[in-house]
Amino acid sequence: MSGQPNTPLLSVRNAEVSFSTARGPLRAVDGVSFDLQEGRTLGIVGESGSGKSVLVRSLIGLVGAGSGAGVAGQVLFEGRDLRSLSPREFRQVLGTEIGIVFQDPMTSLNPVMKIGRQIGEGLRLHRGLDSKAAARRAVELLNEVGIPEPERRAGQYPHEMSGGMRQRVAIAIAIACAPKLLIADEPTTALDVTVQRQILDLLQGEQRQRGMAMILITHDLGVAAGRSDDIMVMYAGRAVETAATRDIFRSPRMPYTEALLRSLPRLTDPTHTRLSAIPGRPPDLARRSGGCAFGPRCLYRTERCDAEQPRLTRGGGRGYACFHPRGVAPGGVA
Amino acid sequence: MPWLARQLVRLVVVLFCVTLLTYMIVNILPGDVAIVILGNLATPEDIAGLRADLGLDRPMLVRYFDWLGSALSGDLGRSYRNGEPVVQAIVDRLPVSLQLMVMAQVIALGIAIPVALLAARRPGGLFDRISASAAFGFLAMPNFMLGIVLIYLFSVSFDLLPATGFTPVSEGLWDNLESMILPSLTLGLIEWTVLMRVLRSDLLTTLKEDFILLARAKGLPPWRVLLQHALRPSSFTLITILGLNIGGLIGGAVIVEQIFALPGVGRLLLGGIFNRDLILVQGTVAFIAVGFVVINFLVDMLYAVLDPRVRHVRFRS
Repeated sequence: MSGQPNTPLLSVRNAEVSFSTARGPLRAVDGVSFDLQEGRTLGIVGESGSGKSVLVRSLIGLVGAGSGAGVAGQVLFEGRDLRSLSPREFRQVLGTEIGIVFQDPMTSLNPVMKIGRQIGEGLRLHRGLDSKAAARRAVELLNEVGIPEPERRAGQYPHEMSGGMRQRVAIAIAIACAPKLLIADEPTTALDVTVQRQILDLLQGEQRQRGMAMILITHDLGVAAGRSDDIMVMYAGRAVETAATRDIFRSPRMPYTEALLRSLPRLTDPTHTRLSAIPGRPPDLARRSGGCAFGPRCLYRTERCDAEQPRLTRGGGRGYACFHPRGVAPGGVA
Repeated sequence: MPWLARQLVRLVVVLFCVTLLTYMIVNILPGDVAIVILGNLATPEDIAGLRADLGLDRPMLVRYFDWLGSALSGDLGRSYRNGEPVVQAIVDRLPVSLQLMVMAQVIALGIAIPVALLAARRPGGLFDRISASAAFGFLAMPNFMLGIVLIYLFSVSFDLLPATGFTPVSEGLWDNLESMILPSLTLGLIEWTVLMRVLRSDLLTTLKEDFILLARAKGLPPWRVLLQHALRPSSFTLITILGLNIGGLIGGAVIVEQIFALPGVGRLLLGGIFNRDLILVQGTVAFIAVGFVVINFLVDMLYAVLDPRVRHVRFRS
């Protein structure tokens, strides 16, 4: 099925994740749909708590079983319905076709296992390499992600490395089995500013060289800007705007996106320009109102916004969930 | 100061305190070995004479340092009762006690680790709840009672195992094991409960870590995630409890050796106390204290084996 034009690598329809809490059910992800083509990068942008990480983790089965979370919706990977696979088949797809890099490399590596073994583990399990071959491959991968003295480093433990190095190791683990999809969940948030760029460059370089698709989750529109083909903005568990990256930056439709863009520092601004902040807080997901979730913080809010939930309307290659989109004549089309 | 040197200094200080304290406590015990030996009808002069012969008329601290001096050269004195060297008495009985404790520990870990792993897979699930109830049931049971229940079940009802007595290895490995199974079970069936609860709780914490999520994202089957990624980082409290529990285990062994009539160090100690054989008691207690401290010292070393981060810190400081 892969390789056919127009069959997306990953196709998500009406993804939902809900948790039962003491205060009632909490819908962390609410009816999100998107497609990702081979070799493309989708940036998922949103504040913390917007559901972006939960969404992506639920797609690959890392939310659910045991946590009391309810997961619904359809996930097609190369046309295969991931949720109808047996656990064994699913682990095979997860281990070989999808790689993931987590936010904090201080906690995402096993503290009591040598680096080389952590990298080679998937290769031994899924690719049938013996321990020697897996160890050799681990050293090659360390070299590929830019770690000096890879032979020596492979025999070290995570605590003997800096944060940036550990994130490189995490990337080596993610790409070890040559996946078609790389998920980077806030891959630079926990790192020093000086190494953030190096890690992003490394991710992008690996992606291009290997022709992987990538989902880049970030709270920073600036990070997504230069590194993704398309952007999906999430707010309160819903996709509120999707468009090509260029279009998002040129003419955001959703007032939330507009506000996010305004809160980015710009080099063209005079010095000491105050950054604009979005007033208010994200809504309490356990107590949703019937209206637009962004309404209470929105500059353009009307009575309709309080009464009715705007749906994501698509057209012209983009979509937005707003009754008062920016850059569109009232009642007109973009 | 390097880590090893610090540990050794600590070891010496602890041993000094423990032996001094024991010496004082043993001397406070009412009764007198001279009366035990000579009987109730002895004249005060006879008793005083025997006390002088045994050196019991000297001040306590003098006797302690005298004892300490010879103890350091490996001589724990001779039993007041039968003149047997205390060291020899301990060495003769030590293998029995060691075997009992090792077997009890193996049984305890052999139950605790698999049960904790299965319970942690589904916290709040049926297995978790049943194992928790079972653990509290066993924990609430005194070991002398459990011992008697086991004797009733396995010896009286089904006649599978001997109720009491000890067979040395020299008379056959199987016979030896057979005579040790019930005593070891008596200790192990109570010991596993704490170990299981501690390990289960640490496993639950570890299973929430990101590196477990990453292990699952690698497509590892659940049992490999548990055994290869979760077990080792979750075992540090277990190791600590294991070391500290040696004290409880020794206490338990004293009673269990009595129930099953095993010629171990515990029985030696108990006999010494009943006979007011102070020097035997002192020697045995000091020996047990050294054993306890040394085992915990070894446990401390075990952390470094299990956790490379500890190794890192120790070899740096």
